Amino acid sequence: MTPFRMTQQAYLILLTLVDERQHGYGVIKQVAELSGGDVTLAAGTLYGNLDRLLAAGMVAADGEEIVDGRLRRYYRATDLGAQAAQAETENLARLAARAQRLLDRPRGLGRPVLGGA
Amino acid sequence: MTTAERTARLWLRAYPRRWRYAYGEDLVGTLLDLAGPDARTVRVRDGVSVVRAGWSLRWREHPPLLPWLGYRLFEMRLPARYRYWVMDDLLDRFYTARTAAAAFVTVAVVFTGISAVVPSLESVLIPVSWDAPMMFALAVALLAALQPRVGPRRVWRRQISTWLPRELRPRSERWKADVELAQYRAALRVDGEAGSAGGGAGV
Repeated sequence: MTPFRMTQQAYLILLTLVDERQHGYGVIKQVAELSGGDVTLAAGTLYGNLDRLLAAGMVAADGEEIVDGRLRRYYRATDLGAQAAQAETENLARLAARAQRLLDRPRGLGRPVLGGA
Repeated sequence: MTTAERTARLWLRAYPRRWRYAYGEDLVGTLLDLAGPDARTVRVRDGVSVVRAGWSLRWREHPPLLPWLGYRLFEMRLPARYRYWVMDDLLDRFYTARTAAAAFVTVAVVFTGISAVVPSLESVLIPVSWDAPMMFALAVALLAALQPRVGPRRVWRRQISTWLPRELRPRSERWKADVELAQYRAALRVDGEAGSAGGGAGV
């Protein structure tokens, strides 16, 4: 089986589900909050990623409730999913550290200065 | 069903039936939550994303080309992991029409390939007028209208099980399938109560 491809969206979804069990709408709201408003998932994008995470054993279904007459399924991250989120977080931290070292290096003459945000 | 719910279910048809039965309600709920109260339709962005996700899933679940051709044209068995895919395929009303269309397309592709390699055969293999392709198209349309169950019934018996679900039985015998299924479920419940840990989730 091909190894799981951890995209940014999958990573964010996994993070919200490690924290607590959530249903679909809750995950979308929390991902938006976690990413500071940068990532607003569409419904299909969420479920596409959930399918992959479920198949990889990183997320599990965790009960169903009837809310407002509609069935809501809850999801949570498994231990494997929590480990994967931790590993990815460490990867990103290492990348950020390397990136910062690169940016802190004295820049040569004539090279354009990186613009501020 | 509100209008918004109707549009949500329409978008969901991008997903295969089995997925809809298992996870569909949840997605419909999420779509309606995202649309907000008093919405008349689901947001287009969400609908398009659902179509994309549904077709990605169909693509992932689809058998690879050569085994699929063997199954579609010659009723060869697919590997066990495609069993549910085969069941969904056989239960679809347009199985016979799709099989006929696949056969015609394959023959057309093969003939075109051969006449490209051996030009002298082109006059034999490639029809001059549109009569033959039109007849094939009509045959496929006829099969799509008639929806015969003989073919899927045979393949189901050989590849899936000797027990036929109601969709594949003659209309007058469909009630038997319902009775047998109810008896099977009742037997499972009895066994579950008699045994220690109850059986798995219902069928």
